[in-house]
Amino acid sequence: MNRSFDVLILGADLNGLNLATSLAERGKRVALLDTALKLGGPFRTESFLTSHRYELGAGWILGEHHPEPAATLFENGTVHSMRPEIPLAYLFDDRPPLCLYRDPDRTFEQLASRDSRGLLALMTEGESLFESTVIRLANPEAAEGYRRSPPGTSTSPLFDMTVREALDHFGLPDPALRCVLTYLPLALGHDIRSTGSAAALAALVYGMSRMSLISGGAGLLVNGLTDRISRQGGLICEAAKVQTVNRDGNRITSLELADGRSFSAPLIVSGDDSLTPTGQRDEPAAAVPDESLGILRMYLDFLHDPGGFALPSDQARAVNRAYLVGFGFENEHEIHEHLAAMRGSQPQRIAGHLINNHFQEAAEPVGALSSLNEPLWCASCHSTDPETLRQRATDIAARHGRTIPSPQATATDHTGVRIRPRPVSAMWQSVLPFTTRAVDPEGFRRSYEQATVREICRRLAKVEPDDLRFRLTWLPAETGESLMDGDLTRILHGDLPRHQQNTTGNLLLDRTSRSARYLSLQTAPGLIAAVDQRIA
Amino acid sequence: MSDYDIIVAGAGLAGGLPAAAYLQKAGFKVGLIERGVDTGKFYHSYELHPGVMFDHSPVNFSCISPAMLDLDLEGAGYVARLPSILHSVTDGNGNHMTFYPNLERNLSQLEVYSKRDAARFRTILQNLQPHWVRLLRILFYSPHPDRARYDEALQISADALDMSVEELVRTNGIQLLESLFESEQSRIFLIPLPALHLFGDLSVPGQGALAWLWALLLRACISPAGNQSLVRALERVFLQHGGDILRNTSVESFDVSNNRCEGVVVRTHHDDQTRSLRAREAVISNLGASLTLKMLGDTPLPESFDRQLKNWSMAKRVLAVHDFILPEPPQWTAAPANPDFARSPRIYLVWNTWHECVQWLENSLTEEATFHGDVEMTLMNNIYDHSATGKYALRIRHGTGPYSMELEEKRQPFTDRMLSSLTTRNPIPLQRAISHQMATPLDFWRANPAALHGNPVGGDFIEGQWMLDRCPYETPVEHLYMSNSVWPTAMSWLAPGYNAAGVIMDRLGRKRPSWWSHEPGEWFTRRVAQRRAGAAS
Repeated sequence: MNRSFDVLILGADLNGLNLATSLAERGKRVALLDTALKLGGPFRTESFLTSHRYELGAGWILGEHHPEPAATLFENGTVHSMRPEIPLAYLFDDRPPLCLYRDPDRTFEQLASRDSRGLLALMTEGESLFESTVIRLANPEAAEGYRRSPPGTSTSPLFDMTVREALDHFGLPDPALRCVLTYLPLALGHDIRSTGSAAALAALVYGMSRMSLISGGAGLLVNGLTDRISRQGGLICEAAKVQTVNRDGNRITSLELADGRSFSAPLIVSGDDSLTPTGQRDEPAAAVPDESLGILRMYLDFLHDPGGFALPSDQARAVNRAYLVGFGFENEHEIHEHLAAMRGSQPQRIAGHLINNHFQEAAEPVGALSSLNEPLWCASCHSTDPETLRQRATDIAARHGRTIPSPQATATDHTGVRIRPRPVSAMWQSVLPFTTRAVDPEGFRRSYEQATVREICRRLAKVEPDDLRFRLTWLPAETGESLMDGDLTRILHGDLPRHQQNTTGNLLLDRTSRSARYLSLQTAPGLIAAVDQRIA
Repeated sequence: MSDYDIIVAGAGLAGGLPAAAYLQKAGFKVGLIERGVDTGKFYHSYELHPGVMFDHSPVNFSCISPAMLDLDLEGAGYVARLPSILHSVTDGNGNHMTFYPNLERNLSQLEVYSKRDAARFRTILQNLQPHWVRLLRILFYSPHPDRARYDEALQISADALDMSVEELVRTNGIQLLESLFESEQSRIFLIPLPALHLFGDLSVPGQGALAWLWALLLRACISPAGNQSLVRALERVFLQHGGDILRNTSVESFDVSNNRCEGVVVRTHHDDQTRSLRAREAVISNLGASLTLKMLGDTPLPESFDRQLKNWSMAKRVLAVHDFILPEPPQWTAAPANPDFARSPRIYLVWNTWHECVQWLENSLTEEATFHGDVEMTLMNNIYDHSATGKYALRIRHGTGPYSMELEEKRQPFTDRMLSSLTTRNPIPLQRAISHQMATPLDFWRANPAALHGNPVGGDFIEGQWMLDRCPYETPVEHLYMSNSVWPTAMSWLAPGYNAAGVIMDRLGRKRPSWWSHEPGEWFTRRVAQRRAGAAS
């Protein structure tokens, strides 16, 4: 039952898909395996029981010029990108909405000249950070490109600032603008309290103008690549759960799946540390804060068309064309208070953003698609040592007056790889306020969901909570998603993915970090170059 | 300008995908048009919570399809395994039965109620066994309508039941079960699959008796990577052989001139532009009767064909689907007596008495259906490995009575009645569900306009489309074919596309390549033999 290939790729996110496409189209026999049911990693378009399409995870990509092999899909018309005119609109209760337009001049029209100047300065700084990073990521020549810049070589002062400090630094007094700029990095999954988060803010404010969506859903990009892999005879296996790793010294001789199939290859590419001989990274990950926010995801489908936001018609026209619609905070202080308050038992405020129905442009009769991403407090810590993790979890829980249930020796996560326990997700389970025994977790979930839906309905013109016919909620503990603690900052700083090989073995680790994966297509060439070098 | 030999409109599981894969593999250049992002929409698998997998259609009959071997679906990454427990049935009195692949284990459970019934059931299955492949071939894998083949199937069926054909065509399902089995309990245990209208209407003479008998021909399998992996495997075979899938693209009309279909007009969603695609040899419509008619526009059609498409009616009984995620496994009153009961992939909740069953069958078309005795529960945890999530996934499918647009307004009352009906009979913790999603026929319809009334049990075997009244694979419009699949849920045996592809080969005078030669049920028979050999050694 063993099948052998030239290259075995574990993990079918865009990196894995691009790599498999590139190799397959150059005549290599590849197999692409993923533990998930659906391919694409964070890029996934889904429709569940209803006809409406949802974007699960990232629906957007950055930049216009995509490297091969994905570039061909854009050139030959398999996928089409759309650039939203208004990437972000923010709703206030007592003020008109503030929109960040793709065209900065239109954004400035809403602002006093002083704020415009400050925002322009921030975006200019962001442009150079963004462009240099994208260029470095996209240029495989500079494989190079994958070498860490020496610390301290960057000159941007933003690496030493938090978001709040940057807003002061650039002289932005407008409370509405400060609220929006505080909200933006948080909504996109970045911890605004960390030093260096200012750099992420700058890159994101500029990056929003370079953001594009895949018309009809990011799933078309994923399918465009899987179609090409299949066309070249590449094998793709979903829900492929590795049960046994057979080794000869450092060399992985075969991988046996839970369904009985077995695969082998002279080169195995994976993002999974657990495949290394020690089951750990070859070198420790950079230190990151031990607490962060998790992302709650809600997907909603209303019986009736929500009819847009309850705003005067001129404002509604603009906001209803926005990709993200933020709401819930009236100023930046409330955001910071919210983050602090959420460390208590229950969140005090419902805030979030709706990803508006950008599929309408795809001429599909989808009516009422919306989704909500809600940052929700939880704790995580990054270490490979289970004891350290456990100690930290106990400390965090104690600070919040909670205890941790007995350790789960066989902790696994939903990805199904069970070679090594993954303590982080188990730890979330332990310290999330609503998964402790003291609180009824499902009661909490339900009340939280209801409050969120009510708040959304309040913002929308035509729907009532009773009109909701489909609601899907994923908690951070389920998705393993937390705010990225300085991850983007590190990438901007030049800490680019380095693809490690255990030189005596046949494993190549895809070290692309999470933020870099959100830069999506730009990271693939580096991985392809690393694999090519290895094959050569 | 993209030209194809053959264009397939609609990449459904049963019709469009297998037709495209067979014809592409046979050497044609095929373009497959799909309005969505993913193909095989009604055979999707999805996670309502990460790691908690559901299937849109949780039943998988691919193991009897010749496509398993013809198209080498396993080579394309598809994995199917045969289950050790088939399904269970329980009534409201705590009686229960669990069905196994091993006939003796089933018979011993029936013997408790009637030795004679068990013997009768054994005889019927033994009578059918030698004709299994032939019946599968006639019922699924032959173009229709074909009077001679239908008569042959009738004769085999009548012989199996030890009655005459004349008698058989006068007998409905209720009468048949009453004449075969003396114990009401046997009848209640043996009726669920056909009673849920997989095949036909039990209350119609002839159709009713055959619907019950033919349900015994089915063999189900489980695909560990989700039922959607069948869709993916078909896609890969099609692509591997050079096919094109045009996604996010709708068919707007068929291009017919001088009664010959030259191609299709499609609309690409991203730019809302239309363009023409030429098909040199054939166009296959996998869009169902009413949409096919619409695509033909004002093309003059022969009266009989026009009438057939216009009068195409789906069964009036429709179903609603609920997906529950539970914090603990469902408890079953029947489970302590047989631990396998709770391990069944599927449990049918049936009537307390035979009288109730008969009443339900008689009333189900005229009154609001009760949930009593018409509930199919799929325990996803018994099919897929959800152990890492600590959650329990339960799919419930039940009848809703005749279809009407008012169904949407009845969502809540339906749900309330179903919950109380279920929980009073079994301590299923539905009230504590972490997540509950309901889909009505309107949802299905919106998801797939080809499925008129959103009926999940439409197609070839129901009421107005019983066997000889099927839509033809070859239409009176030259070069236009239909893959004759309206709702693929119960059609994972991939017959309609197989048949449409075969008709086109014949029509074009092409000989089927050697790989296109496997019998229905062949993969299943081989796998059973392998398993036996494995067990023996």
